[in-house]
Amino acid sequence: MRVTKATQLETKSRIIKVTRKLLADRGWSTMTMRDVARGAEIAAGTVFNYFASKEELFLALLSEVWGQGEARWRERGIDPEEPLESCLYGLISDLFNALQPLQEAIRQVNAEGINPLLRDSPTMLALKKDHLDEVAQLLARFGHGASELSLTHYWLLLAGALVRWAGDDSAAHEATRAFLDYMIRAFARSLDSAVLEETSS
Amino acid sequence: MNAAIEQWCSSLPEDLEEGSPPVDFSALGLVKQEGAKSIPTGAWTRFGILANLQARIALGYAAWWCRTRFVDEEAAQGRLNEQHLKAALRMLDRLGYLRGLMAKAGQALAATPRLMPEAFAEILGRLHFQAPPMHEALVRDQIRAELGAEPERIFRSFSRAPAAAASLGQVHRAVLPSGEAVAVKVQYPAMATTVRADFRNLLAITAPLRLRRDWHAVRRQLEDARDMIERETDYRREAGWMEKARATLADMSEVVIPEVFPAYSTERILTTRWLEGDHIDAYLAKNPSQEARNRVGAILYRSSFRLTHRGRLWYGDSHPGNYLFLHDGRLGILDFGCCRPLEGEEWALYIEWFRAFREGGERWKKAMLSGAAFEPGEKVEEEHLRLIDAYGAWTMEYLSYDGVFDFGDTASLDRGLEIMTECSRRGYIRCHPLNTWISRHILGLRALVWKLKARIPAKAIADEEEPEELRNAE
Repeated sequence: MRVTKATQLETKSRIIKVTRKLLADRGWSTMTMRDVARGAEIAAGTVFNYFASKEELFLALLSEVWGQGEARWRERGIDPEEPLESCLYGLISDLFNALQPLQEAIRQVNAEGINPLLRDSPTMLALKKDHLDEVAQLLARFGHGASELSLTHYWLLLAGALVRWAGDDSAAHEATRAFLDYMIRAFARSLDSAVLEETSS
Repeated sequence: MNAAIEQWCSSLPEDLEEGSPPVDFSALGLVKQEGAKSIPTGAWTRFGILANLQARIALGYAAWWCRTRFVDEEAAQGRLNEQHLKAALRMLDRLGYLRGLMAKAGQALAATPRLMPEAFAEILGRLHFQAPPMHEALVRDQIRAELGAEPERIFRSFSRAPAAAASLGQVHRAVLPSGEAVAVKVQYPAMATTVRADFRNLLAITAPLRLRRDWHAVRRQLEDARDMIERETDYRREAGWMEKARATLADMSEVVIPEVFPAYSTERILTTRWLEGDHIDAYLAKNPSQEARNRVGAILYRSSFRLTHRGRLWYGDSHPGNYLFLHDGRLGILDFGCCRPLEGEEWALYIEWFRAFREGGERWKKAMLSGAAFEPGEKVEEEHLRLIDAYGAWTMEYLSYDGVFDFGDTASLDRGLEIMTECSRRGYIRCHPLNTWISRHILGLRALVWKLKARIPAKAIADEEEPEELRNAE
């Protein structure tokens, strides 16, 4: 029987939904693709038609949730008087808040040596491109050029912050908030330094 | 180092030469606060720490300030010392992010009455308040984490910009859904951790001091300071002290302590009723009469004694920013983060010191040595003994004076500052932790009342408000 596009999309969406629940109930380490198939009421092999591996499935879920976080940030809007540090912090904070249900899974994935943000999978590369485009626009708003160096710097800081956040056991993740603030201020200062160097040379 | 501070430092001359013209600091933009709302007060807080702790403990240039002020008074007076400003700027940069123990100790370097040239005091005061405030997104995140939702969903209105700086965070003005105007104090995240980390750094920096024979006493003071600041990171504790203070001073209608709203308060967020009034500079700018100044000075002292002697609560943060002169003549007292309940042995010790002061003679001498953290029978250098004696006499002079004591007497204040400076210069820094608290409050209050130029029958007030134990003994 031919499967329509709509059906495919619906199945994919169901798989991701089941995965989200299984991660919350069982965690990354114990969840299997067979569990996902069973929960989505499809054949075990069918899952692999949509996602080549458990890791790819996780990244797809992460990407979806990430998009929700970014959408929240865009919906909030930027106050014209808000400084760059506040805008960047707000963006990352909305991302981490959206990712909250996946925190433990991300921690376990990191423990296996797989920082999601540093993967070269098509899903993550697309996520990275979209996010950095957003950040570049933000930097331009504040008169900063979005050089490849700056954006790479930012992305690496964000990847590190994600690891830090995922492993944060402090009450209400306040250690991450302090770290994030410090990291963003340092990044913003690096942009200022770049401007200073350019103007003094 | 912060790029702006690096620029400022590099624009200052390397060596101060005799007769060199003063630097035009306004041109450097040092007193311009970009994007930061003006904070209404200088900081005389923790003058007790400055007086009691060796300035080499991470505050190296504080002792330099003192030496410059008193050893080369004429040269320092009217001249701006660029070298020290450079050191201050560098230190500010290090303190700029971490607002823990180091930042709070750094606050002691800001304006103190007559300890340093006024121009420096003003610049230091403003520099001190340039420690980075929390931006809007961080405040939002803190409130979301602590109260469960973003400010716009909790309050009817919430000011985006801070209304004031607080010791470990900042204050925003808001309106509750029920219509009350409130002050929402939001703490910077992870302050308790920062305090502990800063204390470890402080201990490392103070390594040379461990060779001193009184290191154990100094360490005890540092640990007490750390514990005190860690306590300040728990706003629920502060809320408890505010309620205790309100109950203790309930029959003093001239005093207002803001009501706490527990439903909007947590360990890191403290919501209290908003008080409208003037801080001391704005109050004095209205040129109040001597009678008004005397009245408010008397309220300050009476409330202080009553809180201590009836409430057994020591208010340790008597700096100008914590007092509001309300338009109806009442006095508002804010910020109860730095309080020390006097219980058990400490209360007994406090009563003993008070009793000893009244009795005088050997009992008082013994009490002063105890206050300086000397064990009975421990050898004391003659000069140290002289300074302990002088300091004790100075701090209690207004309680020995029958009649109206003129707190505006600058010569009297200078005497005290000279004693403390001499102690600092000689490295006489040991002090019983309880006495550190007492000193901090007494000095802070004294500096405040000096600024008011109030004349108060302090001894009579103290007698009226004496502890029950002393009243019963009579």
